[in-house]
Amino acid sequence: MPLGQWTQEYCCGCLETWSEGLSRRGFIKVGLGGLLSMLFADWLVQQPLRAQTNNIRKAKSVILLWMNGGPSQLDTFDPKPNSKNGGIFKPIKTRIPDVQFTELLPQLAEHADKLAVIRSMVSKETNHQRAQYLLHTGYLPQGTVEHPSFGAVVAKELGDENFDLPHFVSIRGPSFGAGFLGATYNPLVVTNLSQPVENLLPPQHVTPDRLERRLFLLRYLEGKFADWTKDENQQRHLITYNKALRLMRSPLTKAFNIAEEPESVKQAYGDNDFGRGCLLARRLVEAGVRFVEVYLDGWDTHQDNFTRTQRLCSILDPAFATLLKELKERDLLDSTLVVWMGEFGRTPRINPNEGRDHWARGFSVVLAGGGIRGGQVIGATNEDGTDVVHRPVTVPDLFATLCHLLGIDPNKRYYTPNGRPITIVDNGQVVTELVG
Amino acid sequence: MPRWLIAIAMSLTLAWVVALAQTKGTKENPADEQRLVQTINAALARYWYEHQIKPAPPASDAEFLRRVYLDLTGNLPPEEVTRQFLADRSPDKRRKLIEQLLDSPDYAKWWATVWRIWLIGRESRRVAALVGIRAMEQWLQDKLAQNVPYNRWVYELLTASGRTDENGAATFFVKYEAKPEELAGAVPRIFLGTRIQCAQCHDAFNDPRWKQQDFWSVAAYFARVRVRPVRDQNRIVAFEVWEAPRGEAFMERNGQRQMVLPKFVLASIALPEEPPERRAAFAAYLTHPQNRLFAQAVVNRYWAYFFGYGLVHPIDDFRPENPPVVPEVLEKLTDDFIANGYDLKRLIRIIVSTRAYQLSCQAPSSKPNSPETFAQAQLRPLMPEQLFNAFLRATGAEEVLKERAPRLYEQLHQFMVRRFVVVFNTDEEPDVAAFEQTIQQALMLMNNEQVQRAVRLAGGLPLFRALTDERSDEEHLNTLFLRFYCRYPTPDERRVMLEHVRQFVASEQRVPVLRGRRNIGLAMMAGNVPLPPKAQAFEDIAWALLNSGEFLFNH
Repeated sequence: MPLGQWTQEYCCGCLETWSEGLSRRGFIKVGLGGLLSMLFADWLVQQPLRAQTNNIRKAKSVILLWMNGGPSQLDTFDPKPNSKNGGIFKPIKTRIPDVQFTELLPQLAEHADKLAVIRSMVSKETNHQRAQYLLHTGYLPQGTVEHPSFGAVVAKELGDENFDLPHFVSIRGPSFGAGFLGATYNPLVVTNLSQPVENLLPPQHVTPDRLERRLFLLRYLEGKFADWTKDENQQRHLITYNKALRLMRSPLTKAFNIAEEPESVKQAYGDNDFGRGCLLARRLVEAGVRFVEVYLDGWDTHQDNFTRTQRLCSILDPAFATLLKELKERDLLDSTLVVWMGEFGRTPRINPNEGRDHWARGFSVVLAGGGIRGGQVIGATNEDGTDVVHRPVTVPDLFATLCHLLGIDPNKRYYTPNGRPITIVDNGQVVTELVG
Repeated sequence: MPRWLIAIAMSLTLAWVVALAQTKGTKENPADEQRLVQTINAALARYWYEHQIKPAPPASDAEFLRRVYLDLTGNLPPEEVTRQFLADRSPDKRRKLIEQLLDSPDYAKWWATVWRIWLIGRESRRVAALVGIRAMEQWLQDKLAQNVPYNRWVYELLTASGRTDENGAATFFVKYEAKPEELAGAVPRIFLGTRIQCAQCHDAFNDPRWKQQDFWSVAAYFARVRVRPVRDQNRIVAFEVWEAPRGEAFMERNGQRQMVLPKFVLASIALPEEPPERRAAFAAYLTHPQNRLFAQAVVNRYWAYFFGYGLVHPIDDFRPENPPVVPEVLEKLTDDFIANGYDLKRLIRIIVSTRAYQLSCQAPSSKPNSPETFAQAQLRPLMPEQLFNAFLRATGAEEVLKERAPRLYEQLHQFMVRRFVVVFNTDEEPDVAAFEQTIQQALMLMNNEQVQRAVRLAGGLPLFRALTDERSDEEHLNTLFLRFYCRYPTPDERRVMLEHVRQFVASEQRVPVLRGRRNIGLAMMAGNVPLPPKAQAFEDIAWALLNSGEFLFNH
């Protein structure tokens, strides 16, 4: 088959010969003795609360603001005031000359100099589940392969093995798992913001002294069994327990405690779970977590699009704007890539229920920080918002750009447990204008 | 009756008659099963000898009991069963145990869960599949309890129609949304251990046997299956699956959309005449006795289940370039499986009777034997469902709650199953080589409130059973070890554990008063009753046992 024919269809990675017998066994280098002495012992080492910054690449962490259901681009970042499709919201000026948002985003308009708005995202997928998979993994579901969520990729590529906290945290939503990368990179899912990490501490009747006694017994049993079987799975089990115990004892878990923030800061983000989630995301990134996803659900506005979008924007606007402001103030914006997106956009046409339906042929994604050149718009849709007329950006292009900013090679190959090679990004081109 | 139907009916009936006759024979006279076990043992012994592998020592009765219970019923043996089995001196007690477990309702119940996971996965994001999981398990349980030949129930599964709440088999098509391209990927993978998915978009590079045309010839068999939700006042209560009279598969090639007609390209089999219904035609080809791969794939799948590693590995990668590790074992098992009417119970009996299955997990030297040698039992992580069952049984939560508070038990069950499945969810195809435990799992087992309640209960078991502290501490320690590990503690373990108890009691002053024994187990679980120091000491031991590798792995 000539080259040109398959590059378009290069979809499953099977072009490469399958590497035989590839296995994750054998990667453990710490000896058994080391593991056991580590077991439950190394919490005494105090960790610095702020992660070290000694890397050349700009972006080190990602905050993904996930608009579940698919937000309306026309009522947010791509207003069409002169079209019958435009809807009821007025456009307002932003910090970018000649670029308008709708009146629902007054605070973000003030931060537009930090934003790069892509108005020309294109995809073919308008089924929620498949599109959510696509925008989380960069791949369409293929049945036999479970692709890793991008958060898992970032955790694997940029995460420090010796870090106390999980490198991938998802707030108020499940995100997608690590797929074939393995459970190590699964997100820590925070569902309840008043108790972010479940089961972090033993119940009250287990005093520290009792926990010590318990761990003594456990260490004794583990040692005997490990010695008996010499099986690597037993060692993996010990590694996980070491990590869990480290987390239990880590001062970094303070990052999860948003209660210690001043009232004014909490108010600025907004007294709701998304606002609190954004605040938590900032604290986690500050502590060194690599990927934090925050869900805002409810964008599937087939009915009452305008009332609902207005309500959602009243939550989104202060939280997103305050996040940018705080990251900037704390000198974290350059090292933190903020991504705003949902699985697709919404139809320009307004349906009889005052709603907008699913639309993937031209929707908006917003980026900020992490080496992004702010204050610009990429691509454009036409007057009525029905077509992309300039600079279409595909999902793989977007993912390739994110990789580029994070210093991750988008063409790096992973191998599924069955030995099938799959590149991190499926053939995307970096959108160079985005990079500062 | 149309000719094709007669032909199919005859070829299937013949196979079943032969099968049934033979199955009946084997139960009374297991001699030929024994011969096959010997052949497999000899083949593996040769393989070990040629590769200079020193196999692990034989599994102790305790190891064997725990392993076979978990594998056949998805749960640990009750304490009494363990005591009896370990005390039993009869030479054929292992064989009797296998027989007894396969005949128990627990076998069909557990394997229905296993097959459901293999067929449609655990927890799908596709809500559609959630409705009907239970019905599908019920359907599978019936088939497995009656030991319906594998080829027959697969035929029924792949031709299933109707509402999922009336015919659980139909859930299979709901899971794949009746999409021809999804089914063409899934069905060969599950039933033939063959992946043709890549050929959906182009001629496959990984496996040059499959052209894009081939993929779509398979997809065409599923082009007419349809699925729709059945609603009761806007709430989806079930799904309905049916075969439409029309519908074709279309492949896109060089920008052109072209229709592809069904053709069974996965094996060369001649049917006198194809059934007109597409799925029936496919199922007839698939389950045909001449389709050896159909039998090989399930034999290998079962082998991989019991050893954590397939003879062909991974189990969905049957290719000429990926031959079985010990071909003779796969071939002999396959021959026997076909000749004996696709009898799954017989297959299990044979596999778990082999020397390889009954090896210890103890490393024979300073280096362990890796999984592909089958020369040492591997540490296989408990499946979430097994872990949950084992946890309830070992701690005693099962007996206390089932007896005294069935509703509370049901609630706890629902809650915990969900939690365990979410927290412990693994790949649909478990693979020992790729085992990963997560921090969240460890935290849950160490600290979770509900888990801790059950651990409290385990510590206080003698109280609940109205035994007093006069019964020796040693006996209580035995109970805990038998429940969690299915064995008695070693002298050294006994020394360390009882020393812990002694020290703990010495350091604690207060001795709470206990009144009213009747619901003491419940009160303990609710945390209303402060445990006496000695029970607390044993609670700590139960905690350590629960969190240890020897409990968390099937070995």
